[in-house]
This record gives sequence, structure tokens and C-alpha cells, in this order.
Amino acid sequence: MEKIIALTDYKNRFGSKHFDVPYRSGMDKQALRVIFANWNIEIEFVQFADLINNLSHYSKDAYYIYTSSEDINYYYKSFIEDVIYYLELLDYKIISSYKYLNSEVFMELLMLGLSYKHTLSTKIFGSFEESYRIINTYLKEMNTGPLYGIFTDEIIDYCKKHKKTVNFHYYI
Amino acid sequence: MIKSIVLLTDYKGFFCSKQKTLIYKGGMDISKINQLFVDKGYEVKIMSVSAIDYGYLQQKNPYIIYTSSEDKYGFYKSYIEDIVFDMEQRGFRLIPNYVYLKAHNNKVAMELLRMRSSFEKIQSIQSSTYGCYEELLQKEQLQNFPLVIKTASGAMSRGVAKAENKKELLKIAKVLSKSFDIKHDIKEILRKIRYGNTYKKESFNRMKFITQNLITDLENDYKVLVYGDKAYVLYRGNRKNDFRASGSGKFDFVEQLPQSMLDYAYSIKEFFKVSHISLDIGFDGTNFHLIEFQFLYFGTTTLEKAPHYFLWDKHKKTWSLIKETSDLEEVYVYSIVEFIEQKL
Repeated sequence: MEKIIALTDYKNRFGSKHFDVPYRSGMDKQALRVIFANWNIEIEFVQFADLINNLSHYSKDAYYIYTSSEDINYYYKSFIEDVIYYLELLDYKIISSYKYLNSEVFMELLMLGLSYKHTLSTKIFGSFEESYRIINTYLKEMNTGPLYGIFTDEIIDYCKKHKKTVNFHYYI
Repeated sequence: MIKSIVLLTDYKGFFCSKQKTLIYKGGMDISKINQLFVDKGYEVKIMSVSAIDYGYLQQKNPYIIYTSSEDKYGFYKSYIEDIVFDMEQRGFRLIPNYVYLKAHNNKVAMELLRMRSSFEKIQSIQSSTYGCYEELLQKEQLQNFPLVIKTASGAMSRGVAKAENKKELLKIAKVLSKSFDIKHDIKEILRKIRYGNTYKKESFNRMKFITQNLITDLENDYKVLVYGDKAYVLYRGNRKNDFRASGSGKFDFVEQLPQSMLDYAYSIKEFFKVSHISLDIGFDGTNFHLIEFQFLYFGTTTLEKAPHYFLWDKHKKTWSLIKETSDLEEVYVYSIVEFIEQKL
């Protein structure tokens, strides 16, 4: 019998679901148990911290699926990233790979690395200062006029409003 | 064929960290680094992390050295991580590898790196890692007190405390892991009122942290920076009635070191296969203990203020004391070049 270990957060929540009961409790774990059992797969739910602090108890033969987090400022998500990256380095069978857990910035980088023809041209910045400098240079070079200028202003306003360094991607 | 190096700066155009800078917090002298690499026969290209010329990277396949960041909450650092991870995925040659960037200013990743390593010499300190306070609270068996608790980020002993028992540990962890955000917290309280007992509110303490065993009776530690075959050592006495040495101000550049400490430090650098490393080492009279380690963007005072350094002779397998001061950029470039030449 194959085994899946599903990694849950500190609330023992796995995944996200729109009509979840209780509210914001994620997928129905009992339903997952039944569905996987029908495929002759056993599923065990383990919290990230329990797994990482008792790793010798968990086999590399199992498959590991996991939840992510959209907590404010991604503090808890950064912990999940640490754990998943670590498991991947140790050759645990992770579904999906660490690179798919990453941010929207990285999602764009992943797409840029693909060989198909891109319909969206993406610029990626780590801070307002970078976007300001690079977008202005770009606009100057392209001589694109006010159409793009309006879009640039929106970004500048956004950054000023948030008054902090933010990661974002920008479509031109 | 001429060897190529690409140096990646942050959004301010700065590179890595340095104590004695012309511009406050301006990092290393990039033009000096450039010239030093040129003198060693390298072609140097300086790029911003957000303006990487991938065409150049594909054409030249250079070694890529890069900066990190210690910005509050690691927002900009997470961006650098995205870029560096992507470059590693594309097969570019990074110094150091992404895994070492991840461990910078992130004690959770640093401890996972320690746990993963098979290097027994660095296992005397064992850690548990937590993403939030609730995970610690749910843990039934907490033992081996006293424990040291540390937030994932923070230097100079900030976010570091000692707990003598479970009660104290939970109290300290609750404070250190606080991730206060008024909007978020009020929203969660309202959700709890609306949905009642079935709703589990999101944690208000999501700053990740570690706990680890305390090495007792240490009166000091040693900050050891190893660049290539050069080692710089700073003795750091503990703060008064405290177990912490970092940031105590009780510093001394000692010539007499515990026997084999430099061997210990050098073996760690060699184990991780890096050009340079920063180590906090404790010595209990018998054994060495690796308290913390970093691979980039670490404090460089130990090098910049050192009146001497120790030089490793690979053939004789001995250390010599060299009584002269060092220049950070020179030593940095020296260690990178040595690292690359060893690989070739």
C-alpha cells in the first residue's frame, strides 16, 4: 500500500477550499482519507513542525504533499518554504517541488525560463527604487509616451501608499 | 579564454557588508573589487539584481557573486532569493550556492542545514524549529532545559533568550514570535466572534524561531572568519551575568587560541565547500561547539580591525601567525579566486 504524508499547518489545516466547514479550515481530511483509500493509498496528516523535529520517524518511501499559507507578510509561509526546501534537499518525494511553492516573482521567472513564445512581457523588481529607475529608463528608450506613463504612475502610487519595500511583478 | 565574474548589487548599487565604509552602510568598495579581479585576469561585469543581462550570462557562463540583504522582515531578501534560486535552476555558477543564501539571517534554514549535514563536529548543538508559537504550545514533550530560544532573524544577540523551564519557554516564545498586525488581528477576533468555537483563529505569533540546547559554562565565544586559507579570530567575552557573547563589546584579538580551534574552523569551511565563512565557536575546555554560521553578508569587523591573522599551510598542515592588518576587498577577492582556481 502506498503512503502519502500530508503536511498541515499549525491549525492542522490542509489546502484551501471555498465551501469549507468549519470556516477557513481547508479541505475535508476525512474525505481525503476515504478517496485515497479507494486508490489503495494511506494518507497521514502531520504538522510541519512535528515532521521536521522528528524527521527520523518519517520514511523517504512515502510521498509528501503539503499545504501552503497566505498569512499576512508570509511569515508562516517562509517557514513552510524552509521545511519543503530542506526535505527536497534530503531527497524526500515532494509533490509539488519547492520551486512551485515560491512567490509570484519566481512564478514569472519560471515562465521566462520556458521556451514558448511569451504574450506577456514581464519586468520584475524587488523594490520601488528599482522599478522607478528601470521603468523610466525603459520608457525613455522606447519613447512610448503617456500610455505607459499612466501605468507607471499607478505603480509609483502603490509603492508610496505602502511606504515599504515590496515584491511585485509588472506587466508592460 | 578569459575568466568572467558577474557581481550582483542590490537596488542601491551596494554589494555585501563592510564596517568601515566611505558611505554609511555602503558595503564593499565595488571599483576596488573590480580592479582586484582584473589584476587576477578576470573580466568583471557589474549588474543590479533586478537588471540581469541573461544573454551575457548564457554567452560567458561566468561565476556569479551576489549580495544579500538584512532589510526588516526580509522583503528585499526574499526577492534576491527568488532571483538567485532561478539562476541556480538555470544552471548558472553561483558563489555561494542558493542553499547558503537561504541560511543567511534565517536561523531556521541555518539549523536545517546543520541537521542535514553528516558532519559530526557540528552536531553538539541540536535544534528544534517552529513556524509559530502554537506549534511549540502543542508540543507535549519539552525537555533538556535550559534551552536557548532564538528568532530566525536578528544579530548581536537580538531575539536570543534562555528558558529554564517549560513555563518560561512558552512565555518567552510568545513574546519573540509576535507578528503584530492590527488589521489582521482585529479581523481574526471578529471572525472568532462570528463563527464561534468551530473557528480556529490565525496565529498572532508567526515569527519563526528555534530552540536549542544550551552549552553551559561558556564564558566567551570566538568569532572566526575564514577566507580561503586565512583565518581571523575575535575573542568575545559574555555580557555581565549572561550567556550571550555577541554584541557584548568585550572583544579582544587574541594570538593564543585553544589548540585545534583553527583546524576545527577550517574543517567546517571545507565541509561546506565555500570560499569564506563566518563562525561563532564555543569552547568548553574539551570540545568545540559551532553556535552559528553564515556564508555571506556577515559582519566583517573581525577582519577589518584585526592586527593579525592566521595562515594555513596546506602542505605542512600548520597555521602561522601573520602580524599584519588586512584589507577586506583584497581578502574577499583572494578567497573567491582561490575557490574558483580549486574548482578548475
